[in-house]
Amino acid sequence: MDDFEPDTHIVRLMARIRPGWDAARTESNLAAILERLKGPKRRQRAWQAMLAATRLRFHRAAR
Amino acid sequence: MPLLADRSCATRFAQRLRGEDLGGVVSEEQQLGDLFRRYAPYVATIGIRLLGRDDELDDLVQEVFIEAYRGFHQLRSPDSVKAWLARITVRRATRRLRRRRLRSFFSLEELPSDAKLVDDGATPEEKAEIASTYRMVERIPIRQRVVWVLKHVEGETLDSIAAICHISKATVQRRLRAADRSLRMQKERQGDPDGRLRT
Repeated sequence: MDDFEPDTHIVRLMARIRPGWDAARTESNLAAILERLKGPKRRQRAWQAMLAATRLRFHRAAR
Repeated sequence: MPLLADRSCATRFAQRLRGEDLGGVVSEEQQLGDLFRRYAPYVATIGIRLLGRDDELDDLVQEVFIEAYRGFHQLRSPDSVKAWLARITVRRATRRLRRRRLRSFFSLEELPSDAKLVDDGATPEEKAEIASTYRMVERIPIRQRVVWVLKHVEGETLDSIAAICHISKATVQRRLRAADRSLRMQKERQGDPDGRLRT
């Protein structure tokens, strides 16, 4: 690696990229994670959506 | 930044997920909360440096911790929780970058906004220069970019990058050389003699 030292100017500028991450953002993301973990899983959501679509199609056909 | 161990938090979390009795003192949610509060800023920092935009960051951080929560039993040692989170972050961010590149190829996505890359303390000139630098880094291939950011910006060692990216040390070195060469060429093409970037 020694033969390819990075451009320090670019590295210094890239190191200044930081997230605006504060306590409020931490808590809101944690709440969102817990909600996602408690909620139905992706497969269950897809199954429920398919059932709802089938029901809708059935009711439209019946009319 | 070395990969520090935080044994107590991770061990308690692992015990809880394995169903071991912790005396009912702390709930699973509290354990996840502890882990999240401790490591979310670290995950977010890697995430924004790889993604280069703030608007996808919340989604990325949530995905990382959900994957971590669901796969915690795969973690061999609680000591390596930080490296393990970094590995998930890199994998998820890479997936997003590939998707973004594909979308931009079909012109479905606009160029990333650079308004929120740095804190409010930076002057408009500094913000513009940082955004310009990121755009230059963004032009190098995703695999090379990930390795370059981990090495030079995050300060990881070659061994830890190899572990995080699931590649050999030789591959890490090869990608680093390629990334440095590419950045140097771009800079030369811009023709800036004193090393400052045009914004």
